[in-house]
Amino acid sequence: MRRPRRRASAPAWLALAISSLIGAAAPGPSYAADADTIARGKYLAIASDCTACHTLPGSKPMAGGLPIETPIGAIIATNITPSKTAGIGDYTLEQFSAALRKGIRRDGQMLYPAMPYTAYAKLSDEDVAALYAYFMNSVEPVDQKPVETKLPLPFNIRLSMAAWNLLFLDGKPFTPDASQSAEWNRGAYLVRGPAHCGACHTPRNLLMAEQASKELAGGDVGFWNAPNVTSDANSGIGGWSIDELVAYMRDGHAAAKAQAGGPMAEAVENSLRFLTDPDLRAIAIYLKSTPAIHDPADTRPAYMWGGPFDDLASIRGVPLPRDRDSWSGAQIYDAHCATCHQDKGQGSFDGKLPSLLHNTALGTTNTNNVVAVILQGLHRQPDVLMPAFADALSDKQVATLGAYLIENFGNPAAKVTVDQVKTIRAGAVATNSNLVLIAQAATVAVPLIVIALLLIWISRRRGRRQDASGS
Amino acid sequence: MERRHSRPPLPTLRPDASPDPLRRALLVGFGATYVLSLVPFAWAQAVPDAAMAPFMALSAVLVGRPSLDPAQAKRLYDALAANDPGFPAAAKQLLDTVEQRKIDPMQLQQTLNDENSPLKDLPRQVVTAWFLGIVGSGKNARCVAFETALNAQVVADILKPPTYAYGAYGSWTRNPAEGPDHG
Repeated sequence: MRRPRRRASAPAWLALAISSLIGAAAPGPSYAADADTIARGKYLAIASDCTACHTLPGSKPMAGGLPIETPIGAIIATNITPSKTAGIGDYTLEQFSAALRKGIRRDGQMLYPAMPYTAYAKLSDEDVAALYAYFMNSVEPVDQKPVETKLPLPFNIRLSMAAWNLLFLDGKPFTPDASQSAEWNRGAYLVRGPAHCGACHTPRNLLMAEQASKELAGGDVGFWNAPNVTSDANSGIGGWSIDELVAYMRDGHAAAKAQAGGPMAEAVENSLRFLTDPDLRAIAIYLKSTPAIHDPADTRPAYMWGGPFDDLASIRGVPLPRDRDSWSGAQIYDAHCATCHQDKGQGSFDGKLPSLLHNTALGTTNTNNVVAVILQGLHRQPDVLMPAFADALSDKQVATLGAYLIENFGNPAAKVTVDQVKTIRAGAVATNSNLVLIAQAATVAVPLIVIALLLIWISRRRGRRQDASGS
Repeated sequence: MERRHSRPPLPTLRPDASPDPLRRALLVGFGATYVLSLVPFAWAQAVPDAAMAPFMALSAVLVGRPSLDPAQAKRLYDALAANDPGFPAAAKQLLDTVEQRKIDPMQLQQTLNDENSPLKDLPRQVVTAWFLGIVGSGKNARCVAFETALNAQVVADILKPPTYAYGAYGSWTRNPAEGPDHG
């Protein structure tokens, strides 16, 4: 965004200064669109969950500023309101489309793939135009620029993304599969395009790109684990009915299966719950048709573990140890969990305070999500509010409680450690210093190797020539 | 609301009126027969500790239930015995009294009071332990059972023990007898 500003002439500056003084929201470039197109754009913006990154919680919509933690450092989401000074107000439809689908900004610089343009590349031309119409006409311009992203070398050279794009950007819009139903195709389009499910649910390779061969087989989002959502019966969602998948996406909760927490809770809150029933159904139908990716460690579905259990006999009439770190799992559960999740972990009569038995959160071998939910709680609109226990429980207590929950209600093969709790409590994703080092070394080494190879090649040619001339 | 204003007049109380003696004798007889019929069942229960057998049988008579959780019985018994070392012997003595004299359990407390029996505090202790989960009193009171105390258990299909949530926010405003709100 710097270049246009530098180029702005004095009168333009003056005009801008005056307009900002008056506080008049400068309208975007005149892009006439009918109400239907704008409404469709708004729906797509919701389905694409632009808000997840581009709206700082509690701030103006789409004004950016949220740091997206990645293993190579924080990438700051930009202002995508139609502000001409701080946002995308000067973008033409073509420039908007290039940013969305090719990861190229108006000034020609490359976006970091924290922006899921590899998924948005699947968007149809009409949908991109509808999104553009919505942003230009209905989003309130905010003339405030978030701080710039600063990544370590070589990632601060945005051009390095050109090589990345060459490897990982399949820039073709979605093409329907004629052998499948319209519903399936709609689901495939939503999952792989706007809803960019793979951004979290597909594991990434060393270069942080989604691994096409393991599509939707489960990935990591910071310390959160996004589970396998392929059709595999044990590792994925093969055992879920269409109705259960729809309920989960719409309500963030499917009885006797799972409830959305962490980033998935946000996805439900900001995006999925506003999708139409036919769209959610289409997504479910598509997911249930995806190639099953199985992890042999998953001996049964994550929701098939646990039974009602209590250890009240060991704690009633027994004084609590003064040292909180000596409390037993049953004592911690009784003090902090049982009120809502009930004495045997069975949840409330109405099912709205979820059961801990048959709960995917405790049935997976990756226990990060359980620890994170205990520490941070679970807040999801419209009416889910599990309190955070970060201030109430020590690292040792969370580990003890985690072990109790897993042992009795979940998959006993899983483990929770004090160090794990400490790391997740600290919050920020540890920068992957190895990845940065490798990249930095490669930046230095690759040109050196190329030069060395060239030198060898030249000297050989010379040698050959001399041989040839000598013979 | 309407009914509050047009409440029918209460029937005249006649505390001095003598009850029908035959009716009362029959009722007492049925009650005693039923409750005493529990004793053999109570004796027959699996008991974790032989010394506990009289306590189990006495408990069955006093709380009116043929089957009681042996693990919970053990914890209550241990707590009662710790609270009062004379408890095991007293429990056996009270059971013997009930069996030998065929005392209707509903009349037991009155009988013990009338005779100023040294066992007169025992029924309340046993019943308090089973129904409230509390053993001892004052500073020595201990809550040995809460969720599994009988006062919670007998209504557990509809009611939650205090401190346990009924469900989503505001669910406590519903009449529990109407069932959970699935809406």
